[in-house]
Amino acid sequence: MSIRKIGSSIKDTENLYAKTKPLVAASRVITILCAVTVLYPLVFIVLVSFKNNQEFYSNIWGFPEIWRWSNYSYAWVNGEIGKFALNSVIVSLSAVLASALLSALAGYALSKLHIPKAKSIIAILLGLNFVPSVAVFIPLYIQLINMHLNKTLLMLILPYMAWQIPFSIYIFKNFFDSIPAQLLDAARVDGCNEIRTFFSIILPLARPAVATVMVFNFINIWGEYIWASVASSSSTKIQTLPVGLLYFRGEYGIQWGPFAAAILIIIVPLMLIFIYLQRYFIRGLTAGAVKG
Amino acid sequence: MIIGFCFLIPALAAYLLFMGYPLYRTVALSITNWSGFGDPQNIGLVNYQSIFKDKTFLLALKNTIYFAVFSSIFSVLLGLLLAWLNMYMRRMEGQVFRTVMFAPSMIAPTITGLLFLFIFTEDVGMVNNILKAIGLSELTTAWLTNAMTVKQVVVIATVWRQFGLTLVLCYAGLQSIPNELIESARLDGASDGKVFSRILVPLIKPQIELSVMFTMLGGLRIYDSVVSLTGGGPARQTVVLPMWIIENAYTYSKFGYASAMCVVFIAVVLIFIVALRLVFRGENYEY
Repeated sequence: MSIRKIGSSIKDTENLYAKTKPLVAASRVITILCAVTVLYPLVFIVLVSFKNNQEFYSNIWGFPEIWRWSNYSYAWVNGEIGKFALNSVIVSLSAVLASALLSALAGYALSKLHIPKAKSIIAILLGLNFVPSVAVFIPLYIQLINMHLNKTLLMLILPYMAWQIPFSIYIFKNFFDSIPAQLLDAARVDGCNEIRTFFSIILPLARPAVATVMVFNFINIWGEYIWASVASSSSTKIQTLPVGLLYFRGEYGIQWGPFAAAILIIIVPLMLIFIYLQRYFIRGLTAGAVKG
Repeated sequence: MIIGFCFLIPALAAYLLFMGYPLYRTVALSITNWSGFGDPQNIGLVNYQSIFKDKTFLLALKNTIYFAVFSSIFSVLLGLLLAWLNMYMRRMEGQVFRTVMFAPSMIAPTITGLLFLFIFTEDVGMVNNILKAIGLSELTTAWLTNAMTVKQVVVIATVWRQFGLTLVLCYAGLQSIPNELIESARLDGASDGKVFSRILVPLIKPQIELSVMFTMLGGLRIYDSVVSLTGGGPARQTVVLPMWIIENAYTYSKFGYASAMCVVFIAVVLIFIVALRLVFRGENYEY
């Protein structure tokens, strides 16, 4: 610990920026202000989630008089947040795993298996990725019904999986480009076939890329609303959390306490995952930026 | 190479099946009058002609561009400023603040919209209560139903959600600039402001471009937060393109017409990409 302390104090003296005292002070003030505007609404929601409506109106700022955990069970049971959460978990996990697997295979192939025009393939995929997904909803909806998938979660899983593929392939290809080919050749000489090599050597090696892709895709899919609302118009059975939450708002409109509780039930798991995996997420995002 | 194709095909097939082919179908439908029954009938470019006479469409297009441009500009400026100020902090301190400010980027837009309901609702909203508490009650208004303020509220909610992302991207750029460059500029008598505007900003142009791309192209797709915050109201003042497309398709069953709007929407996105490329054209500085 002491070594780390010395290390960081050396860093601080090296920090050229720290010499301008007024700006050092200004940086604290402005940053703290922004951090508060980010955090306060969240804290506010946490407090509201324990109040009933009467208390919400009379005592808007303070701590709740009683911590009403019943708001949470009310949201979970009466607001059916539990059902929506189960759908969201199933949809997000299967789509994330499937797209990571397919993209890892494809990214590896494009990087190391001598596919002609690999660069153009990536460029076309990334170009298509700019197309807003809403532009394909009408034919896609009909197509999925013709495939007899309506009223099943596959109606959500398959498109979600597919839409994440271009960006995921891009991250995997960049990652595999950075691994020397000799390393992989060595594995092949040992007589492994390609598929076994891939699962026993390549994929474990690509753990950072896998983590980046999975976190990134999970965030996108977990909160996806627009397709979820269109797809679930055929059946309430496949509603996910974002859809269910708006429905909750309509149904119990002014029940602020349970409503806030429901919002927190959605945010908190994501925050925990984020705090745990943020280094992968930020590194993955910025790696693309630095290398252009 | 054959094995390579075996690895590549599943991903490409999935993408083409659920994106490529439907996209082709959308373009094909856009020149028909299909309403969900029978065979689509080719009516040429009639849909496109009526789109540009459709007042709601034009308003939606205007709003979509408004939200994309303003939320992007403010997110990038705020993110850039905070990234720069972050360099003046101690390492751990800066890290903690970056994490906190990045957190909203994790929250789904739908949820952000609902969060801001608590903040801007007329009777019990945070903002009005704060204004009353500090004696500025004449400034209180029904933020979400007042046509003068509702668009700004949507922009604020979007900036709140995404400035952490631009902050992190810009910070990554600033951090990789070698100290010697800044040191020698200082020796030549450059002030902090000069160092920032003449050295740091030009050097992190790629990161700024990426931030603008992310936020602006994301902004063009704004839909979820508007649905949960305003529902497009008051009186359609905040309608956005995806909203009007979905309403036409699923409420009025005007599938051909909605498809034509989709094609126009794609064209708008393309125009934005080209425009951004042009804006950020020019040399990138190496260090």
